[in-house]
Amino acid sequence: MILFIKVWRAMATNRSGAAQRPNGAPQTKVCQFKLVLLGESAVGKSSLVLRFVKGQFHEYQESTIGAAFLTQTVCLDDTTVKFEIWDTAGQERYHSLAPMYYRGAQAAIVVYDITNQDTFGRAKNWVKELQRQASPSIVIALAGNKSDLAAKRMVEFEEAQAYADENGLLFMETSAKTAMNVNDIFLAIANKLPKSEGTGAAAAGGARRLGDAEQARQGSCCK
Amino acid sequence: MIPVVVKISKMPSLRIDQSDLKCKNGCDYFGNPQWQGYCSKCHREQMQRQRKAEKASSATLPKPETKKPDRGLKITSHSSFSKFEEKRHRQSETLKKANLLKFSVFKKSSTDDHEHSSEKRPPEFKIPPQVNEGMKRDFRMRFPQLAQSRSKEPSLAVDRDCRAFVNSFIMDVIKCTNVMTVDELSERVQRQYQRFMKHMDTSAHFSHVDADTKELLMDFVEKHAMTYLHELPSIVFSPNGTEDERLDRAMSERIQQLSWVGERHLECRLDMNHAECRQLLYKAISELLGMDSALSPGDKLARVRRCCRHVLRLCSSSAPASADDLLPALIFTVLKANPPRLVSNINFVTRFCNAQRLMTGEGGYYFTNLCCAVSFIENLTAESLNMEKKEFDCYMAMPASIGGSAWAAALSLCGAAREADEQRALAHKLRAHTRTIHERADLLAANAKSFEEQIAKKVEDVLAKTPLEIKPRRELPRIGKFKEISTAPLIDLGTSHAHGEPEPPPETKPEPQPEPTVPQEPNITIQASENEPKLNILGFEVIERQSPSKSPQNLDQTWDLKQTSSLELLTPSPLGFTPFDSRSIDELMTPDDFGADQLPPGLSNINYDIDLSDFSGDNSIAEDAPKSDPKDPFSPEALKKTFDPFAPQTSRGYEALDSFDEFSFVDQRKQETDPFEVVHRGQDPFSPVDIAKDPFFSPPKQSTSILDDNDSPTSGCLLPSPMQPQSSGKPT
Repeated sequence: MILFIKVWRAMATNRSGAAQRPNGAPQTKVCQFKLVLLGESAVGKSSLVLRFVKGQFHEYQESTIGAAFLTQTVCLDDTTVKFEIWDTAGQERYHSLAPMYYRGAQAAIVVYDITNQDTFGRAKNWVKELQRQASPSIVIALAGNKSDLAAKRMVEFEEAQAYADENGLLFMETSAKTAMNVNDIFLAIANKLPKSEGTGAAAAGGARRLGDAEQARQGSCCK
Repeated sequence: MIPVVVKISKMPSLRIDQSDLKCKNGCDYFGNPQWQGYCSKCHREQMQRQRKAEKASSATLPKPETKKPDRGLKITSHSSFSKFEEKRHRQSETLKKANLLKFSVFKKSSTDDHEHSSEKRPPEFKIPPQVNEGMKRDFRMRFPQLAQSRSKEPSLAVDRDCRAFVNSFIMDVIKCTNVMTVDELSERVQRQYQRFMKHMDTSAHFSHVDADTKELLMDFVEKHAMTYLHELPSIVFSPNGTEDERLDRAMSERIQQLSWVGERHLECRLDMNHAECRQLLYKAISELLGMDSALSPGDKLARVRRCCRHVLRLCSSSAPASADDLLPALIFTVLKANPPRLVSNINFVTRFCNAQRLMTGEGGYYFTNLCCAVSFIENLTAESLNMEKKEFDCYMAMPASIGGSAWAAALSLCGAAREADEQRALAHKLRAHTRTIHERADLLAANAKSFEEQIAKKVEDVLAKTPLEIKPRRELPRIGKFKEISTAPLIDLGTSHAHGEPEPPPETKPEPQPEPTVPQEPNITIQASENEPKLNILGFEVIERQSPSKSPQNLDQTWDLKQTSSLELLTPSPLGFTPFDSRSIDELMTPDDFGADQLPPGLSNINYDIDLSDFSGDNSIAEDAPKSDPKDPFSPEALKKTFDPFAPQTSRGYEALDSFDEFSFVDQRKQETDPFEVVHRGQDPFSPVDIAKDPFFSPPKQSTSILDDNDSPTSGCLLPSPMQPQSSGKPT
């Protein structure tokens, strides 16, 4: 049963094409990571997360109590990665509060809207801030959302790619609406995250090591 | 247990007199300077008393105070919002007092410590046993799978370890409070948490505990340790050396000042006019206020989480709310709630909650949001509200009471609505209750009725099954009487055969009786002679008369019989229906039953009488006897026992008036007859005892009856009896 779920999960995460093989290894580690979503308000942060976690886009379901805090589990080769996704308020006025959110986060996705140059500028600021203030080992991904609206594109892919390479960021253009690259970006992050055993839970950049039992539980509840 | 420990610690330094070491309260346990000279128990009681007193005077140490918000919320929900305000005022007032108290109570004890420590090492601060007890109970409740796991040993070890950790943890914190700054203490606490976590990871008896449960155990340990520490003032909650209390007040005032900030300033979409929206906000505020009453960081986090979920639902009217919506709405909620001791609570959780909890998990996320909200409120400027500086200043200069009135009204509406709901629910409950009561009452009534019917039916069944026994008994008395009298059976028979009247007489009391009896007697004799079955019945008398003739020994008996008969003559006539008669019959019956079970009751009774006759002789013989018998025995017997008075009486009675006799009978009956007749007959009608007892009655009757028998025995019987008992009974 558990095995099946894991396989299913692995396949589910593979839908987008990332090369993952179904993992039946009995001794998989379970790592929990805190991932912060940063970006201007209206760039589609929560849509991205909802697509990733629930596979839905703007379909409101009663069971969804907001998209502010969500968790999703991803299976890698020998590891199960549990993402704990913290959404942040994107309004400029709350910008100063962001450090509270990304304190202790192991990963961050900075989202901008490819149809809005300003949001890209803000994203750059976020990245700068993260690199300066967040834990040094934090994995930062840059996501250019709303790629389905390529006609209205204001931020060139190359420009963003160059910026990402320059700063050592993961970069993908995503679309919450079409689900393009949504799972991929999370998988890429999961792959890049250190999954060493020694990482202390409280230590920044570390993953919390969870036992097999919890893994089983999560497998069954996240299905 | 505690006193023992104390004793041991004190023993080495016996310079002090023993009595000085004892509890000030005079109980036999040893006191302790740290407990102000009381033993642990008395000290605790003392403290409790003190606390109660403080509570009564509205001064608040953390614990009593923390309970207030909840209660206030419930009781005063009708004007909830205004109560929120009130509470806040009270809060800020009491904080000052609490502050003073803390110093007075705990500073003092700590200085005491130092005094004594020079002399001898002060005994360890003792954790009240109820902490351990509570932990044990809670452990069993929260970890049933551990408490009753197949391997008993390790689970016990887990339980023990948890408690040991909590104890050492509390001690450590208390020891360090006076030495360390809050931040150091917080760090130390975090290290303790990590130590326990590591202990759980490495220890053998935790090997069977899965990671989830370990998390829960961690929470469990934290909860119990912190709950206890939270109650101690100034240790972990708004500790000494911090500005928490001042900041609390400042924050409270600040929020009050900002009461004019509405949803439009924060750009959050809230529809005050929507009832559901108001309700949700109201709930969120309730939870936020409840945070102060929760004792452990975990519980506080849980409150925040619930609050934020309400807020999220508040925002998710159309699409799932994101953090973009959550934070403004939460700020708004905080502004409207103005929770008591907000800063202290937040600092408490931040410092002493297991750091992992704050970094990760839903609770941590929402708590972070709350922190953000508070931080935003603290640093709120015109710019952050996107408004002109002038306008902002204008608002800030405005008295607090003016702003936010619309929401205040809306929230108080909520409170009223909630109260109405509660009342309605209560009313519903009551109505349902009364309905069930009604139903049960009906059921009870039905049951009672059916039970009654059942009983009645049973009784009927029983009666139907055994009608013979009962009926005869009732009638028997009469019959018996008559039989004995010699008239009764005759009467029955007579009713069927010759006389229709005899039955009523016994029932109708004296008047009718004598008449039937008188005529009956002759009939009896005659009938008896004619019909054999009747003979039995009748025979009884006949036999009696015969018996003497047959056996001289029986003469006495015959006498007795006759006595009895005469008595019966006396007795039945007056009483007739009385139970007394039945009793006498029963008694008569019992001996007969042995032999006469098979016979129909009526007959059996008769037989019984016949038994009497058996004593005397055969029935057949009896026929002859009556005439001859009476004469022979009577005269001599009468002479022997002679009751002179009787003889004349009888003669008198003979002639005498029936009516008169009857009356006399009645009187007699009541007075004397009962004992005589019944007892004697039932037991040994023939025995001499009877004679001895009833000498008076018998001879005259006999004489009369027997003598008269030839012509009219009944008349003879009747006559003597009334006269005799009266005269004879009284004199004797």
